Amino acid sequence: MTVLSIKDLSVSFATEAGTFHALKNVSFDVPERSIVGIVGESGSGKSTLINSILGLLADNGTIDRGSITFEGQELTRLDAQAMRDLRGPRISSVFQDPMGALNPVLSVGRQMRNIQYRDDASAAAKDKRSADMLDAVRIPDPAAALSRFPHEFSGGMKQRIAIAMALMMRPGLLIADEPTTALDATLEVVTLDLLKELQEQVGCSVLFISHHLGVIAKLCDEVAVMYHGEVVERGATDQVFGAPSHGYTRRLLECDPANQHVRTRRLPTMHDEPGSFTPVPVPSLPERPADTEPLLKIRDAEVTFRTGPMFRRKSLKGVGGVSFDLHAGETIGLVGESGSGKTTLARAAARLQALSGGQISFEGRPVHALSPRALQPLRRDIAMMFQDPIGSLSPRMKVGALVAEPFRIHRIEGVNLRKETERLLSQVGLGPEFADRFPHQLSGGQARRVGVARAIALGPKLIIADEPTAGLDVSVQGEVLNLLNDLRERLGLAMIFITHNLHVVRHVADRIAVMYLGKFVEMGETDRIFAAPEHDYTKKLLSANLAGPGVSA
Amino acid sequence: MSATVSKPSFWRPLRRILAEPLGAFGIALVVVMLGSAIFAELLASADPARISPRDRFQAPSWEHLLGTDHLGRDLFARVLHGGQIALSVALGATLASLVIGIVLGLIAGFGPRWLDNLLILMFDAIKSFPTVMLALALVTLFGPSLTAVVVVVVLVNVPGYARIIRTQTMALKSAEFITAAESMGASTARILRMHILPNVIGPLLILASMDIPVVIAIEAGMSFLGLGVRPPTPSWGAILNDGFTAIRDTPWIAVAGGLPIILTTLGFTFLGETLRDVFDPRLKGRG
Repeated sequence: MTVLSIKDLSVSFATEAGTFHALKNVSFDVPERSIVGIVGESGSGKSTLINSILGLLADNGTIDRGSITFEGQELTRLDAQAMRDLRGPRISSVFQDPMGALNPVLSVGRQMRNIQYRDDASAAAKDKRSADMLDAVRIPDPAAALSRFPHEFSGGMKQRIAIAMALMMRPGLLIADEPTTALDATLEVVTLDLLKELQEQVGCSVLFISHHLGVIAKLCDEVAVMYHGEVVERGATDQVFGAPSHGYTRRLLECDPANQHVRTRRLPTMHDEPGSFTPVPVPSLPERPADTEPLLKIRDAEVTFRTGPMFRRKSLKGVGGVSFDLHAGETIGLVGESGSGKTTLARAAARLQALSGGQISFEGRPVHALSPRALQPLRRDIAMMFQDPIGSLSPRMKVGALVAEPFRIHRIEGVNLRKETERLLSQVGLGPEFADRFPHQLSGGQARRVGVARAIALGPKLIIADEPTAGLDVSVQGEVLNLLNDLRERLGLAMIFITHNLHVVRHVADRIAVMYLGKFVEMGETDRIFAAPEHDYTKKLLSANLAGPGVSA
Repeated sequence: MSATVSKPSFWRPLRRILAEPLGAFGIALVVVMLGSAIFAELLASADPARISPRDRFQAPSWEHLLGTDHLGRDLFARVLHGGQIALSVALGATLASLVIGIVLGLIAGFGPRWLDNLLILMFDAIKSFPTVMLALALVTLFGPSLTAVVVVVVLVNVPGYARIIRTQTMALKSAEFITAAESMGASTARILRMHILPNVIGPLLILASMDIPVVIAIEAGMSFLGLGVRPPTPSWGAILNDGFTAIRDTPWIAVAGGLPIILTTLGFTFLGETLRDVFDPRLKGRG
């Protein structure tokens, strides 16, 4: 039997610029007790699809054609009240942001009791049921957890609680919109396993939206690929990913950095003909005399945070004694889950964070002990790129001013700023017309390029890139990595590349350092780390990073 | 800002304000009020201070467009000249409050914790005085004058303005684009000026333009109590109060004093709301 059936669905939005067709003749079915995945990049119409099913389209959106049938009921003709009665008990949803899904001022137990408001059961019985659900998602000591508040749980636990809440009323359909995107690789695997287990237990169907191909491949029975508001391909997951028939699917699979199992200097992009790609071998590092002075030398670096109210301050070790050398032109990948201290270490190397112990020297200068004035030239030599491509650009400044900012800060005279900006933009593959745009008018990939242009503006010797591909579509990740690889070869840059995505760092880093609880648990050449990981944590991380779905490559 | 990369244009925001019906209406009102105050001498030939007992309580006519008051003074001339006082006090005091409020707010929001605590303590102390009490105390100390009015307005406004700037500065302090500026070597002054101020000033400008009528009311109130403008200098508040005592028989005096206050309030409120829409690029071009 089919739980959800969508036929020829077309949705359009009336905007100032005219009618925008967000969905064009979308058709697919979600069979009973199955998990169907929807893959697509940002802007492909995934969110519009979900909102159409839930009856939550924005005011300017209309369903032009087609039908949405859920358990035999035609949803497009239901009124608001009937739709409200369906949402929650019959169709429930889990979203990307676990913080946003839970009400911060109500205890978890209270929120779970509220969900059961339609039932006549006693409060005690409702709490019992809530506790059972929390137990099912492996929240330790579920009875006690009911009286706790959302902020007392970690991100992964919050997402599990959100799943428990969504499935508590035993809905017929769960809509999961990128539920694991905000989680670390290790947590992602745990959450996916749990979701699958509960789905079988509850006996519901799941519509699972993700841009992560590996996740879809692991979880879903069937998959539909969306592109520009259309379903370009659908079928059994193995079949679609194993032998894709549509050009877009083939390209998408090939572009996923996780699908390139051989290290390559250049990754395929959406512009390449599918199948035409050949890996570009990574040159081995040139031999250097043993006594070469490293560019960056970190010895026993320690960072301690002091938190909590006055007089009861607690010390928290962010980085606990890390040492490594980085030579000119070399790239090191810092890998680990969130909270492992990667970002803190990087910030300390750029002196955005004070050290509580150890030394950091850059070209022999002690970074941790320089006066603010002496630090100024160092700021030209070390450039940083931040995690959020758009959020790291000042929102009221135009791209032109943003790229010119380093020149202004360091009062560099005798440069034609307009020409220089255009040159930098063209180096990162953006036309001069971008100079007049504001950050919010850029896509994630474009904003990232602006960040790169600004980082290379003053010809730095070291770039510290914090999760430069996080939040980008798979198809754009490859382009950004190509750009970074290209620039660092041309400009002879050294780079610290921070990520939790091993598949990405593989193609960029010469060496990889695995960080766990503020320490390096393992460090070595990239090929060696992948081929023969020594530390258990490295192995765990490698197995948690879901490989791309097997495409015949 | 050097002009090589992007030229900040004054005319573009103005054109966008004029494109909004409310904004155009607001600007029109503000321009009319400002213009009639600036050109008061040209528009009203009568002397606003000339007392003429024979012409007492005359209804509006071609000779006296808004009538005359209990001393036979021409109300049209008094309203226009009163506008000079009202608007210069309102604009001057608001501008001074803005500058001081922004500077203190940025310091409190971006500076060390102890300085923030000290400033907040000061703001709360000032806020705990009722406006009228504060005004009475200051006038007792320094004597009634326009300066006293301005000082009262600044003291009343600064804590609120500074708090708005402080809260928003704190929210932005740990934003990635601030850390990015820091990593490029930008000085604290530059971070505050280039990266924080443009992002926090919008709401304050709206609030300030909506506060202008409040300032006008403070000036009128203080003038009524004899703490502000001394007679015979004309002031809207004074005219309104003159009219109040005789509202039964000669309502046009209260209208002459009240109407400019209403029109100025509306003008600056509409202008303020349109300003917000124009200055926040994230609100435009959605979708």
